[in-house]
Amino acid sequence: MSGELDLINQSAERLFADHVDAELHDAVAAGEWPAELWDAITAVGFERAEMTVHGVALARMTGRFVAPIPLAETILTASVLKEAGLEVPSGPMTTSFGELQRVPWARHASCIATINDIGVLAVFEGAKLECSPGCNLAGEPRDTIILGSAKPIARIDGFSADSFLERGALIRAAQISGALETVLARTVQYAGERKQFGRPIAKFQAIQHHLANLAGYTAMVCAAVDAAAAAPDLFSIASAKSCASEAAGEAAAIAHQVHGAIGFTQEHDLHRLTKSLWSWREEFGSESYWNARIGAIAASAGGKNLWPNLVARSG
Amino acid sequence: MNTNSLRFPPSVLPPETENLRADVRSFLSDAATADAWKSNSDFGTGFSPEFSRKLAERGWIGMTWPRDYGGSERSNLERYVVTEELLAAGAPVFAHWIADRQSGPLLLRYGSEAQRREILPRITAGECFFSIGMSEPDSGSDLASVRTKAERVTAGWLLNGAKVWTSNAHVNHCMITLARTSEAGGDRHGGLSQFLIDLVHDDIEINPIVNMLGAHEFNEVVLDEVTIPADRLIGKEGEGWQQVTSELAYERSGPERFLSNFHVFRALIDAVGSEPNVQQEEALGRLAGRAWTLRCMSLSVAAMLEAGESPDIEAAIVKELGNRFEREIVETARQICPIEPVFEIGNNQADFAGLMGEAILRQPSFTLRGGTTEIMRSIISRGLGLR
Repeated sequence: MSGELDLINQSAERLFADHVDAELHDAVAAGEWPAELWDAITAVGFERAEMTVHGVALARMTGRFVAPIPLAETILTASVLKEAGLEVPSGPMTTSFGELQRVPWARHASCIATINDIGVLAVFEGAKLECSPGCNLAGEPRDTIILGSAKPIARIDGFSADSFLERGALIRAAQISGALETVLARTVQYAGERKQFGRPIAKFQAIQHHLANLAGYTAMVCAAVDAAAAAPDLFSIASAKSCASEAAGEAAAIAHQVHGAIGFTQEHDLHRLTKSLWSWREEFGSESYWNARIGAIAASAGGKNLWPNLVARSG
Repeated sequence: MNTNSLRFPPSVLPPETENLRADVRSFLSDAATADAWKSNSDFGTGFSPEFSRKLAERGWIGMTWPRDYGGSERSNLERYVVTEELLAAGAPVFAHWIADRQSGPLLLRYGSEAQRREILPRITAGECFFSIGMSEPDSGSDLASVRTKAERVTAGWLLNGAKVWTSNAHVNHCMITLARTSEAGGDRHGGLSQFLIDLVHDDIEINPIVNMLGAHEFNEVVLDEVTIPADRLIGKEGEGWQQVTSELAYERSGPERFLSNFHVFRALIDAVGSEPNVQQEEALGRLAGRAWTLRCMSLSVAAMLEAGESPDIEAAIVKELGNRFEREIVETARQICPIEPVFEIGNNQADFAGLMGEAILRQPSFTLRGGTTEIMRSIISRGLGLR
């Protein structure tokens, strides 16, 4: 099991390292579809990964490389369609929860699943929908869908979106964890190279404490995501996304502080990571949203059930 | 950078721990009724030899040690279950805590056969409690600078020096002390050795140091021309640094490093009540999620220890984050359920105001004991390859 996971991680790391660079980021931000990267992904079948453990591992890897590709969205959408007993088509896919706004990668999706507040799952062919383009801070497409007179290719009533919203949150948390790993590695590396007052800034205790703090946030988010992927439920996923969303901002601030002015430039690519962190922390629910969800449960369970409930949800 | 240092693989407790957990909970519920102990917000405050002896009867002290020395040969994960249940309940565990957590394991690893035979069965019987003899007036975070001296003499060892912040030396039986036996040489970690001190019979002076709550827990232990037998040396002469470092790993890695204020969290939930507003929901949810995450990390460290690894950096990360979380409980409580804290030494009430009062007053010690936040960050920095 873990052997298979190791293989997926290694092969995904190689694949993204080979394909993702500044040029690709710029092209995608300008509206291009990263066809080569997508073909490389489908050639190994990553888009067909099962949702939880493998999907989370792949999402983390897209986060590490801030890969501009709707792989996580496609895996999530496939799990929605499978759950509904529908056929899973090939091609990039995305899902919109509730309102049809800020839908990830809608303009490039060949299949779009929409789940509304009253539990109607409707599946559309992407080509049939009009999209009004938008993007997040990191330049990833976040489009508004205009249904117009488009007819769904499938429609199911009484479909609960809750567990998919949770899985979406887990996937974004995993992407945050991956981006944090890269932010940490890059920031440690930079602190070792940048010299001031005659020595690498990494030798200053003030910088070391920043980096230790950054390592703590990174470790905490990775641990929460791994634990939630191993035992996904509302509580574990809410904890992981809350932790990830809160840590994202703290980590970005530390990374920029350590990088100094160079990190504030367009030329240096730290901003690709931090812009993603600042976007992903709000998507699929911010820490406030998830905290309130599980806080309500903790309050109604009462003090005496706090510990038993925490323990029942892990180990 | 060693990224493995940041990995906390999810650990699943073996199924047999379920029964053990149920046993501990049932024991705690009976003991709470029988002895009417008040839950404390900090593992370091509840000193009850009677309670410790009851745990000993169950085989829950030194439970991982070999049967030959009074142990039960249970796994580290089973011990983890027992300790976390005791801590979460705020049980009065401090009497046997140090002996169970670090002094016993140290003797098991480095002690002589005679020392193990003599001491370990007394610990597992709940009859021998230990203090830690590391800090000195001029040696806190910089432990290698200890000045207590031990010289070889005909009768054994002659000790001179003083230890401070020695919790419960006035009521415990033994102390493991770190002393200089020769010049440090090049790396300043050389020339240190550990000795077993008999707090009851040795010719030492124990002076109370009252803490800021008004409680006598700390002591100064003065070793003035104290002669102890030769067989009180623990492990090898000159290898005290390596030994004390392994002792510190036990001291830092447990769930007590994030559960100290758990009792306040529980009381906060009840103080908020079943109809929280959104601000209260968010705040409680944040703490609950963080507690879950920290427990996952702590359990992962326990599994690494069980697998024979030395997760020093992981433990430092959990302690640093855990200590921060402990303070967040109190600060969050202030935000969402303001109350004027009260504290009365010797007669403190276990209501929300009393728990808050004690937690606020104890808080400053959490980020100091077992290694300060700053020391934890240095250890993490070393793990990142910065030092």
